[in-house]
Amino acid sequence: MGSCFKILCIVVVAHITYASRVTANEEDLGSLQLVHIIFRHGDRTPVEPYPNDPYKNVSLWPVGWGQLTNVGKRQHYHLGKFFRRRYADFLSTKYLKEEVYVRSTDVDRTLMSVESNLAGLYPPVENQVWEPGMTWQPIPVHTVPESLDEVLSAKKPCPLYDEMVKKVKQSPEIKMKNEENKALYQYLTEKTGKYVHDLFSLENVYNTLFIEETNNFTLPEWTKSVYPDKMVSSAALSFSIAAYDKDLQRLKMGPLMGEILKHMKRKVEGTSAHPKRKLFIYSGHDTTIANVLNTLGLFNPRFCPPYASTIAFELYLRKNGVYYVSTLYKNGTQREDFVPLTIPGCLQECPLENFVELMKPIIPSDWARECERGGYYSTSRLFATSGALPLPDLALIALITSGTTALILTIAIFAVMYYWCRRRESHNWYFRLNSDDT
Amino acid sequence: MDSLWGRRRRGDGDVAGERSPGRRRRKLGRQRFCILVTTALTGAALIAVLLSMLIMVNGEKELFRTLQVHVIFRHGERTPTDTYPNDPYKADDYWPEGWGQLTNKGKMQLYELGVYLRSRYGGTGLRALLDGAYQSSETKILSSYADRCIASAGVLLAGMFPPSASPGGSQVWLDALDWQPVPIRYRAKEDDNIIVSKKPCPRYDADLKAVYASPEVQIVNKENKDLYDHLTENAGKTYSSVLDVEFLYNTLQIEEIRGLELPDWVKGWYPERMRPLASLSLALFTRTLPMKRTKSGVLLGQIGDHMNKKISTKDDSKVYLYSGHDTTIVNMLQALGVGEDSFKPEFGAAILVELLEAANGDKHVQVLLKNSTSSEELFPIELPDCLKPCKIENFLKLPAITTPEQWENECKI
Repeated sequence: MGSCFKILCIVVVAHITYASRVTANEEDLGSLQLVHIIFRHGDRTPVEPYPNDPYKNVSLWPVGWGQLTNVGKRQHYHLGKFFRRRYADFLSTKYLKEEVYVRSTDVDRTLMSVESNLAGLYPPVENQVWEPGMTWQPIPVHTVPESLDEVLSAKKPCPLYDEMVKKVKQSPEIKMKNEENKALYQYLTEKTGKYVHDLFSLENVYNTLFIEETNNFTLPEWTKSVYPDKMVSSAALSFSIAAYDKDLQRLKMGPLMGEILKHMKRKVEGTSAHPKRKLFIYSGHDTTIANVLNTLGLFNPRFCPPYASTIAFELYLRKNGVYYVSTLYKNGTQREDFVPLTIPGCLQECPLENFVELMKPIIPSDWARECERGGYYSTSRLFATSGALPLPDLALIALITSGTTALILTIAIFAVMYYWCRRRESHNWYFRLNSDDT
Repeated sequence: MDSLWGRRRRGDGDVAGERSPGRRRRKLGRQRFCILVTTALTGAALIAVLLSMLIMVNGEKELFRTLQVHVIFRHGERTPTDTYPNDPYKADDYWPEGWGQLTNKGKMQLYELGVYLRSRYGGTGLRALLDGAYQSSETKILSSYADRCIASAGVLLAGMFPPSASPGGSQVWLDALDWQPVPIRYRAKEDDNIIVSKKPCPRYDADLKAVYASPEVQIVNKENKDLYDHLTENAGKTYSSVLDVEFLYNTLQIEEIRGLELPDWVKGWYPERMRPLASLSLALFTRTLPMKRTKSGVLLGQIGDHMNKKISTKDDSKVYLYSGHDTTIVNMLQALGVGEDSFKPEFGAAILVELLEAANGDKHVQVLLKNSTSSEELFPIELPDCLKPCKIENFLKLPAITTPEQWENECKI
């Protein structure tokens, strides 16, 4: 935990652009137009204990496996209160359904986290008090079953993505890491009774140990030599794989980033079906946070997203009519305020145009079609690693067809030109004769 | 209402054990011995009567154990979803909650329903099933897509699972707030063939068209031509069907509840002339068995599956909550074979489907209707296709039960 936090601080500091820096626009910070918030759920119980776990008896975890704890509820309640303070002048005190849209992945702990968060953000006021003394009101949280959700949980089946991510796992870099970890994997497999063979299964064990440690359970003796120091870097590295490169980002995070950009675009154009909307909340997981940061180019593979960690995109309008996006990060509940992040290739206050341009390569035009194997290929993949990747069938057919067409066309043009030139030549002959005369 | 669930009985007397006949014997004898015998026998008989009365009172508790319950309920009081051209209250200002949203009163209603469910199924209740704590493995919630249904589920859960009611207060997470988050799920409207049942189904659409064109409905239309003409003239748009009347009836009813004065022209027509048509409109959605199967068959099938699974695997599941609409309630009653053309569910109306275990191990299903949140009265419902005692084996054979696969097939034209 401690080491993970330290590393995170370094990462964050590295990306901080101090608000106090002198810029031409210092005077005009602009007015806030639209906010997108993405966060991880709060403190939870282990998703799955390992076979030899001394704490695998479910009675030790009264809320059940993978569930939000009271601590987690409080983390999000206070995060909601933080949002209330930060956006006091931006959001209505009252909950207005036109103003805010809330979406969660279809998992108990994320649904419960965002509900706790909303209890802090929107306590009922004035005529919204429906029972005296009750400082909570119901607010709808929208969710889509995981198998149908390509946007937030990003678990809707995508065959091409599965194929590509498999290749990343086989890449020299990851293979090397696995090679390095061989002894560690063996040790963990032996001690835990669980087959630990890659970064993910290692992260799984790391996570369970981490939670048991935070809940004041004494970890078994065998962990001392490996936990946390020998495990943390590998555990964190596992988070880098899902959105490892532009191609994976496009299929994994494209739908979410595309939706966010669409909201911003409609706000700017005034074409939203909900013109009063100001806030979108997305309740997700550590993987959601890691994948978004990865997609923004802000991910450090030694970074474990803590509970309730938050990314915000704030859209501002300056007096000169320029819109910009400010990207912010909040390290769980441990820091009191957002820290600004600077997306590589842009200013911290990134003009919307540039932001859109930067995101363009990862926004699919038709996600479902691109997910079909052979329905989509990236030029970077095709040419950068020629031979290493089998050419998708459809692409091959397209290449052959266009190549044949081009060849036929060339021959045809050549034939026509040749014929035409020969005729011209015969004309020229007379001219030449004339010119010879002179 | 009275005709259908006519045998109004308080609470749970419905499946109580048979009264064991008391026996009395009178005998006059001269001999002491005879007097002694008589006294003893009379005493024994008295004790037997008392005992059987005791069993009567506590009968259900001792003879039946609740294994699982499914609660299908309508959302609480809402603002109108619809208005009409000459509506004096069509301005947004009259409805600060927004259109079709749950009102504060509606929140209270569903909260009360939650409190009621806690008392019925909670730790000390007659049907003790829950220990007062919310457990995700025990209680599952599915809502319709509509905000008012999601919010209704939220307040119901607030009433049902206040953290202070958990054993030892272990679920209290914030001292100032006696509420805890509980996950609520729903299906998108166009994917929902369970609760709101609006997933596109071409065969059903054709069926409904045929029902509207049937002689039965045509006669109703003819008989109510004066009503349609009156409404068309005054409301500012054409009224020509029971469905049109239902929509207007709902809007007028909500305005009336709000304390808004209805225009003079409704007098004599609302509610008396309009209500029977409004309730008929609800009933027509499930006029035939295939229509019942399309609207409620999947939910009924799910209930059967969960009960079956509970019996065979003894899983943790205990309470299933389904947050829906008036149509959800009416469709379900119709699918159970007990619909009535004059029935219109109140806000917060609930159907309770209980899986009970008898002392001999038999599993029974009991269906109850709670039509109002302002009264604790329960109406036991006898299913024509599963007469009491409705054994689970027979319940699973209800003709309206479908699977999602059958549903898809039956929707093809």
